[in-house]
Amino acid sequence: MTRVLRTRVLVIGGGINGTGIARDLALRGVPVVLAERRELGSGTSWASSGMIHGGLRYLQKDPEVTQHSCADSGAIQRIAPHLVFRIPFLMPVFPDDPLGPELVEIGLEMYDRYVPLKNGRPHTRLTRAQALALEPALSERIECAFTLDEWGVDAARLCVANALDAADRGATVLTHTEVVEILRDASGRVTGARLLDRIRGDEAIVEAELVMNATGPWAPQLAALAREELRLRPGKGIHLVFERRVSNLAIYAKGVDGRDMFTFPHEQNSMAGTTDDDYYGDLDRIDVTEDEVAYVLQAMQRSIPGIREHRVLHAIQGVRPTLFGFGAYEDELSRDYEVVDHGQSGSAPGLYSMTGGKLASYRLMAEDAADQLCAALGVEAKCRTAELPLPGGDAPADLPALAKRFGVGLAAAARLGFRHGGRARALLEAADDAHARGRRTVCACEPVLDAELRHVARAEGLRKLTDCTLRVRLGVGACQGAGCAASAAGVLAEELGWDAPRAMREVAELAAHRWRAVAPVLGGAQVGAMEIHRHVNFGMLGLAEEILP
Amino acid sequence: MTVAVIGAGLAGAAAALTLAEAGVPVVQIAAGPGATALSAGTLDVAGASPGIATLPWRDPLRGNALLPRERLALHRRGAPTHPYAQLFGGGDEIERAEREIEASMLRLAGWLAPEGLAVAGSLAANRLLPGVPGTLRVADYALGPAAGADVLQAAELAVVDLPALEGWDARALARTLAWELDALGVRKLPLSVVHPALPERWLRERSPMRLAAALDRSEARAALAEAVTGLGGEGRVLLFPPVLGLDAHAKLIAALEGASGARVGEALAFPPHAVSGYRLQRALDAAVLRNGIERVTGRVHGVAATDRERLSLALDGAGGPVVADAVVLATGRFVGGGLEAGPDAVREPLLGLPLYDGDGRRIDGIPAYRSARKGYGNEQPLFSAGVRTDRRLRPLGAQGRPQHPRLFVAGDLLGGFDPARERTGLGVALLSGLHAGRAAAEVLRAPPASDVASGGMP
Repeated sequence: MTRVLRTRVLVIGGGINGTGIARDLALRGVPVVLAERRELGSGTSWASSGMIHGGLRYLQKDPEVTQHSCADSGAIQRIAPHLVFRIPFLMPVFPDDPLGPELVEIGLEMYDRYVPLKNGRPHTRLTRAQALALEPALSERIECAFTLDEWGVDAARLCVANALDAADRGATVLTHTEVVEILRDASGRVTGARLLDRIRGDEAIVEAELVMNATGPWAPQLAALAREELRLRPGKGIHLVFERRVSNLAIYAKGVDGRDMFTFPHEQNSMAGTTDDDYYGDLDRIDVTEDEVAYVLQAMQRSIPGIREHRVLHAIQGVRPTLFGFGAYEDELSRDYEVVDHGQSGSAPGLYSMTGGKLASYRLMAEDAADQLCAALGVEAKCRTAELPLPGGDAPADLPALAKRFGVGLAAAARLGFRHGGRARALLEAADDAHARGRRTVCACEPVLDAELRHVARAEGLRKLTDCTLRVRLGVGACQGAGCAASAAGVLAEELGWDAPRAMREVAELAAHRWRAVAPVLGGAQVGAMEIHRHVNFGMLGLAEEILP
Repeated sequence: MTVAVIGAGLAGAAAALTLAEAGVPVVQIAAGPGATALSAGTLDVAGASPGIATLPWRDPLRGNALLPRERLALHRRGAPTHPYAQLFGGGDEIERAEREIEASMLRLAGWLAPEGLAVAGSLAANRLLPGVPGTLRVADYALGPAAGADVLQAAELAVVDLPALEGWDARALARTLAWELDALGVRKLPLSVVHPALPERWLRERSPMRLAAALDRSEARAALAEAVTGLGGEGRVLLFPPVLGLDAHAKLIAALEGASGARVGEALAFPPHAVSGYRLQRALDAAVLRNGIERVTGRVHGVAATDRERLSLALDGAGGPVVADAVVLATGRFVGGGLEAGPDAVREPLLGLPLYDGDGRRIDGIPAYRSARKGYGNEQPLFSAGVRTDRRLRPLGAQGRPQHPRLFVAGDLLGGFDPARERTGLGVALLSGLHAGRAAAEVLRAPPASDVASGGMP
């Protein structure tokens, strides 16, 4: 018998838009079901630069957007202080740049007016010598440089935090669950959806008053299930992920076509990107091309001449759900996002779609979308997402105390505190059995402890080993899972009741998943790491072709 | 008359020791340990069937496992680019290959024995060895501590729990192992997890290397022996993580067997466990020193022909180049540094030797990512890449002729096989190392006939 869930709003898509909207509605007391086809944040959110920036680039055309972005950046820092980290930027000015230092500085002076909203420091102007002393990786060709403040975030964790909070307040969150049919009544009104659990293979019906399509670049495909047309200008973007920090500060770079790009420290790594190319290929199998990698490295090399000597671990790639419009790049579009009411724009009342959007002001956009949904539902409760902390964001974790109390390394405690904030302590306590098994390091690159894996399986609804790359950054370090995949699968098998063949399939999937990420940028010392990866997976685990996806 | 061997792994050590035993002065040059130091504890001669990533009994031959000598025959006949085809020829003289392998393993055993490291195995029987994750690996030859864990020789197996140790999860191991045994149709083997009453500091130790070093001390030996007393039984195997000492492993294992009454074995190593490979590397280094081989620590960054009888090696740091009468390259692949994946191309950095994959295609000159195929399970040309040689293991230059009459290659740098999937890595290292050493010794002994004639010496 097919399970039937009744709710007021079905949110489809577990990226930052979907989870943000689900949390907003749940905080207003609206019953919500969230369905994500894969893992939370595994689409566009994860592929973003993970930056909660203030919108410097909007200053010229629309300073109001800059003000909103800065204010929302401040709000995200308040509700999830553990997930956010400061990224000071260095903007070099080259003699052949179109704008000289004076014009650049005028722009930054304007930006300084909004910067206090996001707890940033005002810009500073550095001489060539000062800039080179601060960041020796920088090109000696620069004329001078400016500093400005932005903030980074673990985008996948931000999605998880929003989904967890929604769930804590009554929402049902379903991952690896795909919409296979949009249900409509005789009048044509959308009344819910039929869902397929892609792991268990069973179906469920969700009956809802409203359906929110927050599937990012997949939004046209989802709308098509309701025979609705939705136009996007899908823009593919890639980032290169370096094995360690290439520079202390984020550094601006210019693409050969004049686009702004950066190399920036992010968590344990540096990242460089991004690109922006129209993309009409398979959204579930986005390949990184040689041309894109060359374009990024070429841009970075102008600012950081030694960039090619650094070890690239892997690439990340995604597609922006940019609003449709004629214009060269996303940067030149004036609007960011739009909430489409298909009762107004088409003939599917009850269905809404979110198009466009960006990580940095997700909370604001979710608020706007939830306002519209609440108006349609007759709910008067106001948005509270800017005031109430996200899970773990209420109290900072005392990391040295945590490390000492549980006998774990300070680095492991720090990463735990980063991902789970104030919940880190309870997490360690829950998994600390008589043999202190919870303190065992499973993934040494990140590092990830046994206790954290058990926690994400027990309390966060994790369902696949591959998803650990997003949840806890397992398997994305130098060894790409060679050292940890089997160990982690062993822990998850115990927690999730996997038998040995299932655990081995999960290991095989992770190995193949990492190869897809590494292969397009394979070179340098990473080739040796992948040599070991293959020895472990084929030689030791005996992974066979038939179970490799 | 000096031969320079470049590389410290098993291939380089085998070549250097062969030369030294033949009375040829040898200098072994290496920047650090070889990839051998990362090995698992097996010494695979024919780990898997060629071209088949799976264990033989996971393929259609399930339940009818091939013996090592049968797999070896497949390697020789079925894989024309495999180094075995070069070493043993493709003919029907399988006995000659078998005799050579057996003799080679005896020589290796002789080199390792003074460090207490035993070599066990044969071509006539399979061993079934559990790895750290609980998967079973078919093996022909293995080092002593790993060979002790052969499940085919056990009536009962008890996995030792060390709860904090990185990469060791006794409960998960036992679960996976139970399934593997069942799937392979091996007779029922009672499995359990045991918790010896170990001192608290070992129960809390996270690092396999630190624990192994701590267990080298005699008081540690006594304490561990006491903790396993009474855990034995008829036909029982106590399965430990690969941490039973770095240097004093033989003493420790003997003490544990004596105290428990059980056989003691170590699971095959798996990152972050590197103890097994570390021991093998240390024992090889010790054998090299014992045999009077000069050892130079340094990175060679170029090899060039001085003339037809000498080669010169450019080394990092002070001092002039080293001139040798013959050179054995045993520099490995990407981990060892024998191959480099530069930004623009994969290359052999010392001489720029042409590189070929398992299908005989050139692979140097293009960047690594361009030869990477999409599926992880696909054959990857990059990982079967290496140099081609003549029958005497002399690498072929771009013209298809030996690059230099006195330049030889051994080990993973030999192309045409995928060591990870075929599991012949250390077997190739040992056999080609011995071959290359012999070939270098022969070339030095032979009268340089043509050169004398053309040299116009009075």
